Amino acid sequence: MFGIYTVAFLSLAAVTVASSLAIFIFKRLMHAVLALTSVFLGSALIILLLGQPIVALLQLFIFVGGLSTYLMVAIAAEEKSAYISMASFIPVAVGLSLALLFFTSRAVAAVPDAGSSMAQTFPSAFQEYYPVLFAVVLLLSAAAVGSVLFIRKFIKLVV
Amino acid sequence: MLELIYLFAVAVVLVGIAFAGLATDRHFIVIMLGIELMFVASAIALVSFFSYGAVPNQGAIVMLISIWAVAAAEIITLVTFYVYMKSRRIDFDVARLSRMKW
Repeated sequence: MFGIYTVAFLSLAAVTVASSLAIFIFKRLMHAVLALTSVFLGSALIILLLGQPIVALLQLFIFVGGLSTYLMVAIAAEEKSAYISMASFIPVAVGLSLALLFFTSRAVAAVPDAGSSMAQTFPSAFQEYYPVLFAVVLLLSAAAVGSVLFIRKFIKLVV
Repeated sequence: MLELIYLFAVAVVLVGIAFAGLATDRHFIVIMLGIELMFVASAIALVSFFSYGAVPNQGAIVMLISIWAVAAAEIITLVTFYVYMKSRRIDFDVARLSRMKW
């Protein structure tokens, strides 16, 4: 009735939606961040199913590899008073990830050609969008430099 | 190929959950995580519409990069505020965050 492709999408959608609910259900902040990481992972895999591997890879690099790690390290470093039990969460997360990998690896082989691939547009001219891209760079630089200045000022205030 | 409506439904459900979380949760960090969830939903919707479009459009990629950049900037800001508020023992309850400057 359902192909492996549809089953993979439905599983990913279910995991992503369940994880997004878990963000607001979990009591511990660390668990909420792990749930958000699961949403990032699920969304990247959904994008992979759409036939956009480059976008999925970038999404994984930026969100799962970069932002989630940064967020987890920062929160884990500050959560000194509460012991975060990962004994139950890690086996579930590993099992879930392996199941997702199994389904998606089977499904990716069956992905039909999409209407248009984002990879095709990369060589095209981006000149008209340079102001927007520069604004993006400025935004990120301002956020990074601003946070460093803010923390430095705060540290001087305290120490 | 999947129906576009299913992908759009996932994105809309994610936005709905995020909005419900924003409306009901009072923890500052969790609210920011909810906003992050909205960015993810918008990325899924954007890529879905792009994938089903017949003509490649560079504007979609720029839009996607912008979404990622704003999400990244939000996380940087979130961590900074978290470290600051935690160290100063400021309450994370947004209902009690009335002052703009300490």
